[in-house]
Amino acid sequence: MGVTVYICSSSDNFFQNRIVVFDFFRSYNIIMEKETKYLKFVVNFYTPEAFDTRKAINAYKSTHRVRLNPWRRYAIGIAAMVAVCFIAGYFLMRESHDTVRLTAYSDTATYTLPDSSLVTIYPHSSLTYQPEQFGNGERNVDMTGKVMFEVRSNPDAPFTANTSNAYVRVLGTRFTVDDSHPDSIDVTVTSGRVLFSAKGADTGVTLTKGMQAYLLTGDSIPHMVEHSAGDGRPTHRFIFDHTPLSLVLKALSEHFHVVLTSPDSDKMLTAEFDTDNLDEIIMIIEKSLDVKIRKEDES
Amino acid sequence: MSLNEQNINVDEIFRTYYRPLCLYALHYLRSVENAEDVVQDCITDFLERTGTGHRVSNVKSYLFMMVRNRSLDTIKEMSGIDSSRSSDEFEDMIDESDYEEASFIEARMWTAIDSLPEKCREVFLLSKRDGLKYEEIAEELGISVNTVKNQVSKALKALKNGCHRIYLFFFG
Repeated sequence: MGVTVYICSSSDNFFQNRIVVFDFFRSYNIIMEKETKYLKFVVNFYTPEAFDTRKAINAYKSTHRVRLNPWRRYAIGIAAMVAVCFIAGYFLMRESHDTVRLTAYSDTATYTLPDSSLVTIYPHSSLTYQPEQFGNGERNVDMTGKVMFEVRSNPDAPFTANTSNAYVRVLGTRFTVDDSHPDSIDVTVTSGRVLFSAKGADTGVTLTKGMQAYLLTGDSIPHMVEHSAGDGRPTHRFIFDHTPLSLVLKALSEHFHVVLTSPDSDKMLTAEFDTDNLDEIIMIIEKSLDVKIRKEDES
Repeated sequence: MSLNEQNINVDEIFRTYYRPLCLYALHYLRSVENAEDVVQDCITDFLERTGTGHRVSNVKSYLFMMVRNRSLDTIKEMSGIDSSRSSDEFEDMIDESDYEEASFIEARMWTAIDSLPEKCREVFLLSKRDGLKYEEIAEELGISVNTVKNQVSKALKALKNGCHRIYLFFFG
């Protein structure tokens, strides 16, 4: 402490040092006197839990919005952004599990997929896909029933139509998948080229324009149905044997993508038709059964 | 400390000045509650003013001036109600010019008492504040006189240690 230093300093300044020491002790006494007074004052008023700085800060902050340091504002901003990203990410991830379901109940319905491919869904059929993944390197759709596809060409994203036990992969074409029969799946290609395979199989049959194949339940490879290519549509022969007119019209409607109705739908028809000319078929039915058939577009 | 950029840290203002200002106000007001109210109001006003671009070149002087003025206003308001103040025993002990300097040392002493163990503080206050004799304290608390002595000396030692920085400030 200072007191030692002053006393031990050189003797030729002894007198001066004595004054310094004297002054020091005088001021020390004054300070000690003051300290005693201060302590007395403090002790006299001391109240536990009074003058609590923390309480005062909380009281202030509870009524005032606290200004933040710039770096703290940045930190909070960044934290908020990260939180937003996490939340957005969470919802995007969640959305990727969402599916779009397209269905047709009593009438056929045509929809446009995100890649502008067209799907025509026949009555009581449906098609689902995941919009977040659709088009990212592949275009996957799941379907039940009977659906006609008009796939927009995209070599980078093969289009795959999945049924319960088969899949059809294409690059861009027009084809119909009929999964509505209980024991077989029919695929008819109107244009382009598709691969028709059983579920889990690496290979299948390649179908081109006008070709048709069917896969029986339990088979690993589809069977081909040969047709002569006509106007791009497969040539069918419709054979009706004592078939109610309602069912005849339903079959023709489905095939020609029109809506055929008749007030006498309970009449029976036995006939054999080529499918090339619908108007001719309608005329023959109307004449042979003496009925009126009304033709409307699907839409 | 210039605050022209208004980089005011609310916590820092409170931690640096709240308790000294309370003791400063206490010299005028002689009431812990009133001192707390005046200081809280002053700091709040100060922070609001600086928050709206009001420039303060010397925060310490500014705050002490605010607290002094408001304390004197409060005394004026209360003078009709409370007349006991004039006979205060501390009136002449500490000069008003020393209040500001004293408040920082007193604040430290207050903190030192705050941090004493509860029993030790109780004995110390009964002895030094209430002026009870060691025997009286021993009887009231049901402890031995020796324990009372020990507790008081322990408290004084702790206070001395608590004020160590003040001694360093003057002698170091």
